[in-house]
Amino acid sequence: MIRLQKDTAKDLIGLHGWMGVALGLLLYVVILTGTLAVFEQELATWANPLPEPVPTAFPKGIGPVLNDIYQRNDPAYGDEVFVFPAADGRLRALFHTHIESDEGHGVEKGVLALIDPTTLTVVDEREGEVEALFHESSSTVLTDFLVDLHVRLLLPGQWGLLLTGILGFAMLAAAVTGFVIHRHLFKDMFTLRKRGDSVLTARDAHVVAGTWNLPFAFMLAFTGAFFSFGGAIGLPAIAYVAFGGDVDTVTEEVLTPPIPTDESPAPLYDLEAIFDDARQRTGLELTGLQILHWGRADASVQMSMQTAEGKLLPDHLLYQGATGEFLGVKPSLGQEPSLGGDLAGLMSPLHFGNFAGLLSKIVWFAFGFASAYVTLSGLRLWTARRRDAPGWAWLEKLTGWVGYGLPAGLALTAAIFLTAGTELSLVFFAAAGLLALPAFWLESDRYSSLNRYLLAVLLLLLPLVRWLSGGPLGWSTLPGVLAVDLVFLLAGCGCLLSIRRKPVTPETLRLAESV
Amino acid sequence: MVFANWRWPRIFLVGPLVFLSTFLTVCGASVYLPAGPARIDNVAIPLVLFPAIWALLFFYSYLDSRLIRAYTVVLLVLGANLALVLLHISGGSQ
Amino acid sequence: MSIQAFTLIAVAFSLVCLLLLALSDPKRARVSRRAQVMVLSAETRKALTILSILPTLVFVPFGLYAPLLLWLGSVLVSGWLLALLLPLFAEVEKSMGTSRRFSKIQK
Repeated sequence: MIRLQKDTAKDLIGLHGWMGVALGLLLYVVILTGTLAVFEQELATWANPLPEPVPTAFPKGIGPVLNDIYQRNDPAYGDEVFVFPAADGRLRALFHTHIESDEGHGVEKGVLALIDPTTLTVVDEREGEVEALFHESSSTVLTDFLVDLHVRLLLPGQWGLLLTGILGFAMLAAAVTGFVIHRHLFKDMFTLRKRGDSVLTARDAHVVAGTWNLPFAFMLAFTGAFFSFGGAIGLPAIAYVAFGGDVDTVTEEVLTPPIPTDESPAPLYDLEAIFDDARQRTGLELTGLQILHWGRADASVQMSMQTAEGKLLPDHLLYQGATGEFLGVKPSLGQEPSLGGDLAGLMSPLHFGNFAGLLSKIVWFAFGFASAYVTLSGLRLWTARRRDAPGWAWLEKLTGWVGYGLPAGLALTAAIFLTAGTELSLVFFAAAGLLALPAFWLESDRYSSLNRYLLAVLLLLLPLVRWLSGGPLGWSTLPGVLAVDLVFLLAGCGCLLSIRRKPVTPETLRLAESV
Repeated sequence: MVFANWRWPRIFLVGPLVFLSTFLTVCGASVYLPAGPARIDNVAIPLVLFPAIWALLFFYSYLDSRLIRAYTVVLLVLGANLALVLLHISGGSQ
Repeated sequence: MSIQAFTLIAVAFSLVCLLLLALSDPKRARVSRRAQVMVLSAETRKALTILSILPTLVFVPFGLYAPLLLWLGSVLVSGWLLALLLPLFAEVEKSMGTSRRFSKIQK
């Protein structure tokens, strides 16, 4: 129990509420999409599966395929090569270099290839400016959209990152104030009155979910704010100050492998042999590959490996490209182990929860779900209490629209994309507009119920739509795809059941919030 | 109650001013923190601490009942770090 | 024993502690206006709380931070589910309640 002065407690309760009202709905969008994005790989595979499951990201025989791509393109693109699996398991290989554009500013130009790892064939290969290439050639359009909504709220450039960074701060503040203002935090951990038994059910549900979720809500908000602000303004500004303005040179010096510059031509060592050596040393499979200066004597090959059992961060193995000599194990960031590198490296597993396979993803999903629930239930408590006050009815409808309309809109977008394959942003905004229409003639409870019914029906229909649009059906070939189908069906049934149960009346919510 | 009087000056303090102050604090930290063995500590550590520094300044400036004192503290943090950053960039610290 | 197996055992251990804490929670019984299923002294409940976080003493000294996070996350999610699910068994708990009844019901 935390004892606060009466005025301080009032101030913090006010902050908790107003922060929620001002930013809660946008925060809910970020949290819900982030929760779904925990299963980005599974959803991407579900939407666009390969003919058979991919056993490893880098199958044997991938070396010669990469070599062929290098040989048939401009050798300058061997300057920097990145190979990494897309969310659906297909491999993306980017060969590129930095050039000066006609307008005089630096751009990245190269070749982006999409490789089917099951057949080791290049299914798509395009040349051009790198930024455009990633937009043009993607096998994971649906999850790219989901991630873009989570990271940038579909806003252009750095504006989206700035906004989600502010939302991360808001979530951080809500978690801290929620912790401080709740006087009986530990005493009330199991206090949840039976539905219909008490007017306090709604408030209890909000508090109980918030209490158990607190450490992870704090952590996800912290790491989320780090990613958004770090990417948008933090890193460029700090690097500018730290390196006295010469960011590019020092960044390259700090982050590139310590191999003396030697521009004389030299073929790259057998990639397959390097991969095998890395597998043998670690007992793990590759998850990413970076080759610098392909075709030169100072070429380097750096691989990221799977995260070993019990570890949070993966190891990176460095090889001399021309000779295949093993140069050592590198940390996630920087050339030497360091506190700063470790701290920054930790942000990814802590935010994404992808360090221990499906198990950690399920746990992270649960916390995302709890955070979304806490945000939405908090908003419902707030709006129900002020239902009769002028000017607040719109927020109640808005909460119903975003709260249940957003997942319904996402499901509708996925269904339309699977059948028609159209531009996702347009479909999403059209779906959102369509779902908003009934709010003009339905009162807010009925409107929320309608959206929940729609969500349930759409979730139940998604597997059917996927199958009718030509997706696979056999359990033996793609169990992952059918498992996602099953989750949608269960979620749809759960949604229907939750509507059928006795609803929490607005009077209950009003009483609960006023206590 | 912190919002009983001076609502907008308080909002200006806890919002834009605290954010700017946090931003300059992390930039300033990169000047005096040692670079470490990998030469990235002075960049990575302030970056990771960005949300923590913001939370600290935010709650302090929100809860301090004396608005003038809160402004003084936040502006001092801002001013000191701004001076440090400007000195460093202009080569004064070298 | 593999790290994963140990983590699962640690989660199960902490979960048993949480279950005992929930069943013996006096406030939970009081607000649902029924007798407690299990009556434990405040000291025993305190000991159970400490026991529930005991696995950290293995995870932290051995630097097993990934299993620590997994354990913490699983226990917190399970605690939330426990709090959500227990009211569904209110009737069972009512029939199992001890003779110790609460006359004072907190409003």
